[in-house]
Amino acid sequence: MGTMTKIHTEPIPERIQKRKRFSGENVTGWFLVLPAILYLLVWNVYPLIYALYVSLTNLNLTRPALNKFIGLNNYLLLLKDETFRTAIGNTLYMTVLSILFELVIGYFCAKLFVRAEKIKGVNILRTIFILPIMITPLVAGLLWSYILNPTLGIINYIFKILHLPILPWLGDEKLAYYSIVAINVWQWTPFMMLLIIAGLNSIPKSLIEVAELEGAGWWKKFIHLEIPFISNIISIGVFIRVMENLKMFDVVYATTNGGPGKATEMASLLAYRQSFLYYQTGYGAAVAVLILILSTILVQLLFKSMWRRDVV
Amino acid sequence: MKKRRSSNVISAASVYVLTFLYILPLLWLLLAAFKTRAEMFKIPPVIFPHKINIDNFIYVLKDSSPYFLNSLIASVCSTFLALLLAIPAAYSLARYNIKRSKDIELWILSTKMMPPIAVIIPLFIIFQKVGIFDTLVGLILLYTAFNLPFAVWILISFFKKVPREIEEAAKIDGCNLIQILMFIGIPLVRSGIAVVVIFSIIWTWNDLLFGLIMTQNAAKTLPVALASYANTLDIKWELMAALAVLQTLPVVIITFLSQRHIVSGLTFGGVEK
Repeated sequence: MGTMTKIHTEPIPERIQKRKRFSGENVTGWFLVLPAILYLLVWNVYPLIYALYVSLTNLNLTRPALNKFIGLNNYLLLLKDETFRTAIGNTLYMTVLSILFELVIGYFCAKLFVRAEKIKGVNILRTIFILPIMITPLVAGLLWSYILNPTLGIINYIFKILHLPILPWLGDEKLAYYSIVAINVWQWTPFMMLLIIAGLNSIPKSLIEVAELEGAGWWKKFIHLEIPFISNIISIGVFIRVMENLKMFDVVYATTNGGPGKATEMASLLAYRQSFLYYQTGYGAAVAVLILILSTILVQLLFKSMWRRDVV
Repeated sequence: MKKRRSSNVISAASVYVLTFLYILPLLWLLLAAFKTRAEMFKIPPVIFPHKINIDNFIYVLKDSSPYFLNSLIASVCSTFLALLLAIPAAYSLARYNIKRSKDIELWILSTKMMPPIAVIIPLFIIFQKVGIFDTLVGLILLYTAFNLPFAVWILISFFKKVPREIEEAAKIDGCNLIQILMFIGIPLVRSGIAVVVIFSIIWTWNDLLFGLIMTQNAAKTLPVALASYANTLDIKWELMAALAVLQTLPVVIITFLSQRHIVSGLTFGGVEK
């Protein structure tokens, strides 16, 4: 037994260590990971290359035989297309605006839940509170279009009782856009709240006590204690929300379908409509490729900054 | 002491009120599902239906049961397939020093971040050529690809937390790789597997876009059926509400049963709870 331990503690010669890279262990490692990699190559990389190709053609799904390579024509048309610019603008503005609201409201809700920590049933309440995250965005959209319905909707009825003006919530250009922001914020604030609660709970109790002994007000505590402890978690949350907002489809599909006019047009919706309703598949693919490029750039930027701060 | 108690009462009350107000829209949907068509169109709006009327549910269940089944099969099968591919991959990435494993991890995660519309156009064309358009097989294969990155990412972080010594002891006892994975690795990361199962099932169950494009009738999923209720000229709000409630119910149940897994699932395992 004694000799065996001795052999193990001896350093492995470098030559052998190098050979180990190609040894049995490495092969097994690859063998285990390869099926997943191959699967994703088939389902992600190959379609992406295919999409790039389609975007350079004038493919029309109703007459695929007339499919022709037209180079960058779709992209040139896109840059001139006002609808496309509106869609990208709407998507980006939606992303920034909703995330801001989600953070602010989420923070206040989180504070409330943390303060009520010891209260009976608070865990169940929190689970109830996060239900909006779990329902499909489609149901969120349908539900709100029922609530905001100009004639039958409960919101306008309440407004009438309160002697407020009756509003065409999803029928007016500005209002429709902000209604969708509000639906989005309603659905995802609980997500930010959960993350902020996790962050606030990670602050050591002793630090809070010291701060309180020294008479720090809520602002001082917020800046010097809470922000440092929640910022990493929040950046994960913001990152995920940016990704999701760039893909936004379901809520708009269920409420306004991009209208009235182009007021709530979103990038994914535009690509969908061009490809599958107007059958301008080549053009739709070009929209999709540009969305992909845009989101890749944003993801890279966000990910790099998180990587630097050791968040991921 | 007295002050402490009264502030407790205030925070308790505010949490209850806040939660109630927040989910009020969902309660409104639930109430709508029990209303008759006449009640739906009354002005001023009827708040409580005058009796528990389950006709809407009976109607939509009859009308949409094949779509329920499609969604269920697609969710369960794609989750299972994703796990089958993800468990060995995650184990390998967490345990073996294969070259550039960090890059592979990042690449796998990045496929999850890609906007689905970018792959769906070519996949639509491919599905039609291969003949799996509007089939459950096609949907399951597609959703597997969609659930796989998340599964790998979550399971890597769980496998990394398992101490190596346990597996090494098993190796010395003569277990081979498959036995180690089956009897030691998988049981030790069962919480991670739970997270993957919960979220894969919920995502697949909730997906609209893929279902909308990749199915027509035979493989139509529940969200697509639900969307079609709303697309008709004369929206049948009470039926839509009933179907929406039925679609949401399983997710609500899963959420209640698995609250402790939810935070790590929502953040790709990036945040521990």
